[in-house]
Amino acid sequence: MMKRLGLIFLMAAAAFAQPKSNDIHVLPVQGNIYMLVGAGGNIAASIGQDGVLLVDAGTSQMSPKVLATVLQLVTAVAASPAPNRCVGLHCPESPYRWSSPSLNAIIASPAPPKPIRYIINTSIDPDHTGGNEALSALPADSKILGVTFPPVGVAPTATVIAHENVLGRMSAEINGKPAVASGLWPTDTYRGRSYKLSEFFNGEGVLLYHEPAAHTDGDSMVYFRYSDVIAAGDILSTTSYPVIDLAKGGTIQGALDGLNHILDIAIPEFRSQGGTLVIPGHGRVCDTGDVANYRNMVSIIKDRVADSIKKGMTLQQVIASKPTLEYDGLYGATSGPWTTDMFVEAVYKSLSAKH
Amino acid sequence: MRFLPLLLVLLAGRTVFAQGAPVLELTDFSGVWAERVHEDSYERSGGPPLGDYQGIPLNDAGRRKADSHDHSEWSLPEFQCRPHSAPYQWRALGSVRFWNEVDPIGRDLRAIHVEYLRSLDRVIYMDGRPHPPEYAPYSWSGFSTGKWQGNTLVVDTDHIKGSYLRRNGASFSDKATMREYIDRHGEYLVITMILTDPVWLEEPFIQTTNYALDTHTALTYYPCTVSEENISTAVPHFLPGTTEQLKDAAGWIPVEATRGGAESTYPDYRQKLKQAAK
Repeated sequence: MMKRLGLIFLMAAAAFAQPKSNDIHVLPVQGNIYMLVGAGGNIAASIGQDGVLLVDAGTSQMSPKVLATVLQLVTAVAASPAPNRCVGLHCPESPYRWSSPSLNAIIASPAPPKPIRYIINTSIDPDHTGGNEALSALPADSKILGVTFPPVGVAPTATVIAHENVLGRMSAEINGKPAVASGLWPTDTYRGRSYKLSEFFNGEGVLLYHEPAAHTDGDSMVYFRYSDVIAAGDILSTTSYPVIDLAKGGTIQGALDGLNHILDIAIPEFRSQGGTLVIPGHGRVCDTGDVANYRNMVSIIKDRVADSIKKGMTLQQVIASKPTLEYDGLYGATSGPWTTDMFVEAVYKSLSAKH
Repeated sequence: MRFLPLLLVLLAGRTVFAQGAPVLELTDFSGVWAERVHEDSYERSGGPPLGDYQGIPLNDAGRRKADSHDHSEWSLPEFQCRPHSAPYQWRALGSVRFWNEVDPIGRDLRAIHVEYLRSLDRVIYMDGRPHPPEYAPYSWSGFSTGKWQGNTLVVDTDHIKGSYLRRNGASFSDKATMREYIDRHGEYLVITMILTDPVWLEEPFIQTTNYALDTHTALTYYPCTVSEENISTAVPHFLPGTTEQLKDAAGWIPVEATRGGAESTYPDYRQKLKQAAK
């Protein structure tokens, strides 16, 4: 109980500390799942007795801070010493007889933290995959905060999983060189509409769903079945319009399908709130109400642009008609990597391609 | 003079009390309060027609949002059990119940809970905790903290999910923040709400609502079951410029007055309309 209380205090302090730039912030989400904010894209972390599973890896520049944060988390959650709760008849018999579990629990040093065993990439983007190499190939003798990580005897590499289209695009040669350095490639891929880890991880099933044409053609959503948390990747963002990468197979209808898929899986706890929680690729933790609001926005803008195309309007005419007007204050941008005009253009071209 | 000792005792007691434990709670709102259908009757009864945004300082983006509204959005499975949000709730159907969450040992007021007929329990934290970071979840009720300003409870709320401000689609975004002043005058309660939304409002939206203490009533159970039969899977909305019903609101006031906006919320606006009518 004390261990749990200590953890709650630690997590609460982390959760309610106001964010500082260039730091990684931790939000306990639900069950085994924590959200790491500030590494580029959001990272979902499953922490427990089996080790660490990360959904996405952030940018390469932030890898040292991500690693330090993960180590702090795993130490606090799964490797901290705790008061003994095993007394008398409630204590399982020790196979060594002479050993006292009670005494050992008090005098023993903390167990070494478990390693990162899996990284799942939700897309090919460098703010989600840039940390793959650094986080998965940690040297065995690496010491952070004075703790050996990972422990001796455990293979110091994590399995990196993604849809095969991610590997295909990363390894595709451009001018005789792969598009992305091989150290960042996934080590395991899947090709169906869904995939599941072959066994429980941290006491729960982990399912991957392929969204075939949303942000790109290699998007995955990850569903933690017991914790009831979905890591949605860039299918959902609370800070921008959907980033539809047409060159990589993204479409507006696929983005909408992905959002509806989240809503198909998610169940609110009460009155469209709580229950299944959704970690977006960027922005804050969401539930069905938030995803529905975002889905509605995407659907309404799609309908408007489709109507304009039906009327024979050009792209410039559509942009001038401001089909996103009321949502620009929430998701729009006039500069940066994904402007409002770029979004409207992507929607226009995505819908035009069907006609 | 015979009352002097008693007076001294009372004064001494007052001094001791003033120097003792701090007064943590100055007004008790506990109990069920019934709505008074006065200035809020427009919202509580049949509801305003489409296109009537009078009194709401909508900006162009907010007006577009409202004009696109199709009430059929309530058929969406995700919205069928959607509760009223905190800003709308004060003028929604039904009574409101306040109760205090008090530390059983220290007796300090931890939180004030507010319950409504068909909405969520709203918590107003009184223990001085900070507001959560931006990346924490948002709720329909938002995250509220309270403090005393004399006998007035001042409540600051953020982390509110975007929702409707009026039943006809005038809305606020999830970037909105709200301050409320809650005053008790005997058996009457007055809530003054100031809603600030940089996305859909030109100026803060200010609204007062009153309730009366009702010691012979209780909040009732309000079930909700989602139906997925015979409903569209599309998101209902009106394309810009296609909502014919927007003019329905203009039966007794000029159309431009129904369109809302900061200017229309000030008394001077009446004169402008009169001038325009000449």
